[in-house]
Amino acid sequence: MKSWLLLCLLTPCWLSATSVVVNTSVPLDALTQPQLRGIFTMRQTQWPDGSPITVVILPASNELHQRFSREQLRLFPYQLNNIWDKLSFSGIGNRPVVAEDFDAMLRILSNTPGSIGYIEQQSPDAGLKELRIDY
Amino acid sequence: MTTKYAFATAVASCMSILLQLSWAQDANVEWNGFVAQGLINAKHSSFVNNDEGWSAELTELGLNSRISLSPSFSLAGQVVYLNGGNRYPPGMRLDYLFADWNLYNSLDWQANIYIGRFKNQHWLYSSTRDVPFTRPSIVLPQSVYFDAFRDIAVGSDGIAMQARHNGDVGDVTFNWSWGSAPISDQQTRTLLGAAVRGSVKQDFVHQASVYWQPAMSRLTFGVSLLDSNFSYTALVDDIFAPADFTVQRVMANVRYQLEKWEFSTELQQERLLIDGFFAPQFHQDQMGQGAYLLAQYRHTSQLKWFMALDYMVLNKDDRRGTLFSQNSGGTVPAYFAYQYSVGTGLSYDFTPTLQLSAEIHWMEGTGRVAPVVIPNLAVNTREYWQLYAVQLMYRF
Repeated sequence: MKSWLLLCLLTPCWLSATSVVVNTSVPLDALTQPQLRGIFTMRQTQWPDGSPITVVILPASNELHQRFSREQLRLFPYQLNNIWDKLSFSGIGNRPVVAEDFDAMLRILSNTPGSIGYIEQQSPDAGLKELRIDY
Repeated sequence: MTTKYAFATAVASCMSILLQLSWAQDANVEWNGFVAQGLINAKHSSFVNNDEGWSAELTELGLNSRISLSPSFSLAGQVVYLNGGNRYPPGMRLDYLFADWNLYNSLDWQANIYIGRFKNQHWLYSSTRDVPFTRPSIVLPQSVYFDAFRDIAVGSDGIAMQARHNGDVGDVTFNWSWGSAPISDQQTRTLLGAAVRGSVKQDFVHQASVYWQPAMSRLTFGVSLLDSNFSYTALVDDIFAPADFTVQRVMANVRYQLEKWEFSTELQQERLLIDGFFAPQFHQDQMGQGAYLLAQYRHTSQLKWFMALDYMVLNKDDRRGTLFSQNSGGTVPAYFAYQYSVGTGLSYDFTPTLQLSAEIHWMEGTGRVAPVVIPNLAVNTREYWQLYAVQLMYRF
C-alpha cells in the first residue's frame, strides 16, 4: 500500500485525473507540458499543419476546469483568466470558447475541427482523441 | 469641433470596415466590452479636480473587436471613453487599431508583428490599465503608471513585435516596439500646465522587454527599456522656448503568484534630459526613480484584498526636493518633487461580470499630480493628502 502511494506521488500521470482530448482531425498524438500550456494560454494558435486551434474550456467555477488548470497546466484558474483578459482587451489574442457544461464540451469538441479540451480520465470514449502529455 | 468630428468619422469608418470585412470573409469575430462608473475624492489635491468633494469623474467605457481573417492574420480595434477629471483629458479615444500577422508558428515558438496603433505590452499592467477588472486597483501605482502621462504611455502608432517560446526553460516572451503617440494641445496643458501654449510632439518611442517564467515556477521576471524623444514648438510670443526632451526608462519587475497570495513589484529609473523650454540655453539632466510593491490576497473566488506601497522621486540626488524648491526661488514647495503612498482596498465579484471595488490611498507629496511644469500651488497646499475611490464595473 505504501509503495503504491509513493508511486502515485512520484508519477505525474497518476496524479492527473483529467485527460487532454482533441477533435480527431488534429494531426498529433502527444504534446509536451509547455506546449499544452502555450495552447491553453492562447499563445499558440495553430497546429503544426497551419490549421487554427480552438480551445474549449468549462466555466471558471467548474470543478473539472479548476482541477485541469492546476494539474495539467500548473496554473491557478485566476492566472488563466488574467492572461485571457490581457490578450482580449489589448487586441493581441482571443479568449477560449466556454462550454456551458461537460456535455456541451464534448459536443463542441466532436463537431469542431482543430478543437482541444479536457475530460475526466475515466470518461467513456466520446469519439475524441486523447493526447499524451509528456512532462 | 472639426477635429472631433473627423475623429468620430474615422472611428466609425474603421469599425464599419472591420464589420464589413468580417461579414464578407465569414471570419471569426470576437466582441468584448466594459462599462465602469465610480466616485472619487482627493481632498486638498488637484489630482482629480480642484473641488473638495466627491466627484463622478471616474468613468471608463470600452468596446473592442478582434477579427481573424485567416489563422495567421487578424484585425483588432478598441474604442474607449474615459473621464478621470484632471488625471487625463476626458473624451473618446481610438485606443488601438492594428493588423496582427502571425509570421512564425510552431508548437514551441511563435512570433507576431503588429502594425497600426497598438497597446504598450512592456509593463505589467500597461496594456490594460483602463480595463477595470484587469488591474489590481482603481488607481494604479503612480510611480510607474503616472496618469497624466497615460495617453502617451498607453500605446503608439507604429510597428511592434512579440516572440514567445514555451519550452524546458519555461515561458519566455520578448516584446519590441517603435512608434509615436499623438499628443493633443489639451494633453499638453494637462501634463505641463495651463500657461503652456505651444505644442508638444513625440518624435519617437522605442521600447523592448523580456518576460521569463521558469518552468514549474510561481515567479515571473521581466525587464524593459524605453527611449523616447519629444519636441516643443513655441508660439511667436511664447513665454517658453523651443525644446527637446529625452526620456529614457529602465525597468525591472517580479511577480510571485500563489493560490491565495500574489505579490508584484516594478522598479523604474528614468532619465529626463531637457534642452531649452525654460530658456533657450537651459539644460537639465536628472535621474528619477520609482517603485511599488503590491500584495493581493484572494480570500474567496469573489473577494480580493490588496495593499500597495508606492515610491517616486523626480531626482534621485534630491529625494526630499530641497534643491528643487530652491531652484524655484522657494515658490514651489519641496513636496512637489516626490510622492510616497500606502494604499489598500477590496473588490467583490457579485457575478463573473459585475465587480465592485473600493480603496484608500494615503499620500505624502505631490510629485505625480499634474501639471508638472507649472504646478497647481493654489489647490495642492498640503504635503499629506488622501485619495478615496469606489467603482462599479460591468463587462460583456
